[in-house]
Amino acid sequence: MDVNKNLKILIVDDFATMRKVIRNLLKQGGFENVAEAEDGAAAFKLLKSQPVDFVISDWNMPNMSGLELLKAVRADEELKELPFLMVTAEALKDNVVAAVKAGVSNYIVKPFTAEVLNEKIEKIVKNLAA
Amino acid sequence: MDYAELRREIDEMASSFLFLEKKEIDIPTAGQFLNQIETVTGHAETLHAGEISRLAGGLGQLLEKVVLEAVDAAVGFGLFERGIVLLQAVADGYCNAGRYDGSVDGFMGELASCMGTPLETEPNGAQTAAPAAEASPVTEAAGKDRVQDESLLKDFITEGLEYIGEIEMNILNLEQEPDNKDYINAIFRPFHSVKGVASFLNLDGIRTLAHDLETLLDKARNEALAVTPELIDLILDGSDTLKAMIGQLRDDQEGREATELIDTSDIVRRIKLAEQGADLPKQPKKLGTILVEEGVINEDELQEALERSQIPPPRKLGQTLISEGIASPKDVSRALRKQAQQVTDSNTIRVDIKKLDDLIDMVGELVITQSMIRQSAALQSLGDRKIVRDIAQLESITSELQRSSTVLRMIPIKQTFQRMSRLVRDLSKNSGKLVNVLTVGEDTEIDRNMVDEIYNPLVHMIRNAVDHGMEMPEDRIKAGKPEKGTIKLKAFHRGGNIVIEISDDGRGLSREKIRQKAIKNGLIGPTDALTDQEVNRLILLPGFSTAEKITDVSGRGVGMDVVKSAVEKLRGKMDIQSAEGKGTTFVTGFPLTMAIIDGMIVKVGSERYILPTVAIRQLIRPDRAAYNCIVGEAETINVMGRLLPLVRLHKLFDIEPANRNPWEATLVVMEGEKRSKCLLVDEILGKEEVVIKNLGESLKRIKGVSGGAILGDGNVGLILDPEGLFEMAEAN
Repeated sequence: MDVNKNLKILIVDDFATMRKVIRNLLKQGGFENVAEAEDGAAAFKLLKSQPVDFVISDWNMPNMSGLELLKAVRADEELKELPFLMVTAEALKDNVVAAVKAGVSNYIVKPFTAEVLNEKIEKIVKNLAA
Repeated sequence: MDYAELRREIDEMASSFLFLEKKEIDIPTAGQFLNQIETVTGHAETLHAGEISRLAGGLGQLLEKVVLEAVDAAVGFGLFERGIVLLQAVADGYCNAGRYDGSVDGFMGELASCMGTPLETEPNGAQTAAPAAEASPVTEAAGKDRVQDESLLKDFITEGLEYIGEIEMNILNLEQEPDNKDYINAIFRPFHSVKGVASFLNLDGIRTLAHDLETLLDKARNEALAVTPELIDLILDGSDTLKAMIGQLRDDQEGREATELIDTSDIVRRIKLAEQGADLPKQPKKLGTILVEEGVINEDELQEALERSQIPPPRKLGQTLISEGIASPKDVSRALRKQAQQVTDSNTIRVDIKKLDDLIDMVGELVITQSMIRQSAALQSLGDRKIVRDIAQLESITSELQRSSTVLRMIPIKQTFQRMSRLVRDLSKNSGKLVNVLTVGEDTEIDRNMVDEIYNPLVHMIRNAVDHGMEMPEDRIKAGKPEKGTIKLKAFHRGGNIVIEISDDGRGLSREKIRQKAIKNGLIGPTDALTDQEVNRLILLPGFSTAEKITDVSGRGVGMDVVKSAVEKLRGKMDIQSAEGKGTTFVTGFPLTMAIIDGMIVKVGSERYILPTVAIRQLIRPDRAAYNCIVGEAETINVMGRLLPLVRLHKLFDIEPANRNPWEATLVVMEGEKRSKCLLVDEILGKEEVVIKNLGESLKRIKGVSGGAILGDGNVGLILDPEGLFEMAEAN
């Protein structure tokens, strides 16, 4: 089964260049239906106002961190099933475990390639379908 | 909570494991298990079911390893399965007999060997394992995305520099509140973001440095390191280096000649030392400072050479100096050696500022006492040559002591400049203008107590320069200037003062418009011939800017008189240079310290007072005809065609004067904030530099008096505040 390339993906990162980097990598994987938010708070607002199929979020952000966003999403009745991929700088044990416990779908370590990103997305979506 | 309930929790975990669709623990599932295990471990501990908590804890660590890909997923799956079965058996034992007869040691051993580390210790391997595995495809991808990288790189440069600006700002906040975690976080985050993007763009140098700084901050955040001024300096130096590296990327991008690679080894070494909590070595003195100290070049030559070194292609200061013949290669290389020596010795201690203030105070007293001895008539009548010589010797020692003690409180103006640069960035962002900030002479020193005082007037000037001086990008292009304007902040020492120049390359002052405005407001007559300089100074006059906003006068002048009076309150001077269409420079000079004042000593009756010299316009003895007194009105004096109110100092302080008639006494024309008045005194005794003493809490609020000083003859004199005197006179 192929992953639907029309997935609406939300990129959450406070660094605009980083969002562009991820957007480019997604494009290489064929994902072009992308939205952006600059922190957790903005992302949550967007998620509540329009349908999104997949979230890729940075960890370290002002206002609302990636972990806080994840917790808010999982605690929300409408959003709790939303696939959520966390981007971290290093595979720091404490960070990753905290995200996993909070129900993250998967995590990805910077820097990553389009292939790895693609793989992670497909894995999450397929697991969800199964 | 009892064993049965614990058993139920474990069974629940076992059944969710049983219902796994694939023979694989994916991340969300691992998350669920980790939470369940946490609950089980906690409950097992309260029930003192040692085996259960050990076993569950071990399984938790196993899952973490699986998640971090430090343990093969299939192996982990198998172990986890057996672990759950064992867990159920142990729980059974506790449920039925209150204890477990078997042993979990065998399984725990297996867990430990699978994870490659003894249990209970923090596994570290995972931290590097994951990125390393992905290292090779990254380089391939980079080659493929070359074109895309160009535009990303551009974004990174702009955004990265912005972020570093943010860092600078927050470091200054942190310096004021070293315990505020929010500030540390606010610095940590930009470093982190810069690092993240740099890793994608294969900018290894930037990534490594940002990473090191981030680690350092992380330690500070977790209180493993104290936030000391040395640490703050180090972070500032680190962000400076990052800024330079990003700046270099920009130069490369814009096709400018590639400059020497920036050497990060020194800063990285300092960061590493700091991480280990070692004392931070002081930053070595700059080459230029050494050369100035050695007397090879003077401050002005240094500043000019520094500026020229900045002009592309940038050169090192030493190269500029040698090639222009300002310094000989020998001098430069000797200074370089001296600089290298400093790196090894870091003989500094930190002293409470209060102690320094006290010391400087006492030295001030010493100077005065010494001068009292020198002037003592009894001593002079002795006619002993040796004593005269010894006293002269004592005098030179005390004045040297005074000089070196005031230097103790000096700090570089660097941080003030950084705050100002940040302000420019914010202002230009808000107004849609493009502005570069260039700073020169950041190492120029100023009394620590002056730093905060001068900030506000400088801010006003910066605002003025950005809001009104700078044109919008499109207007700049029309005027044939680069789209991006430049504001230059420059500091240097000149004759016991620190001079700060704020220059912009904006539209400049319009001579004609200022003239017309001044004529309209009655400041000058329509036929007055003024030099450009005089015209420019008009905008500093009170009454130039009236209620009406005068943005039409190149936008300048709004409240500039307020800035001027703030500068003068600090006993500073201010001037403006401007060329229409080319830009404007505000020049401000401040005394290096507020501890000493240049004063004029005047006598009224038997009392002596000190008037600050900066406020004195002129000294006159008027003709009788110049004096006017209308009954019921104030007395006035005609001073070169202007009628100025007469203020009788003896009346204000209720003393019996020697002269009551202005034409027999002496008049001091003094400038207040918005007006001038003539002060009537008996005579002028002389001019002296005095050390200001405050009069203590109880006498703090006395109007017209700003402090006291011990005069050279040992008597105490009050330092008068012109503005306060004027107010007293107006109240009568």
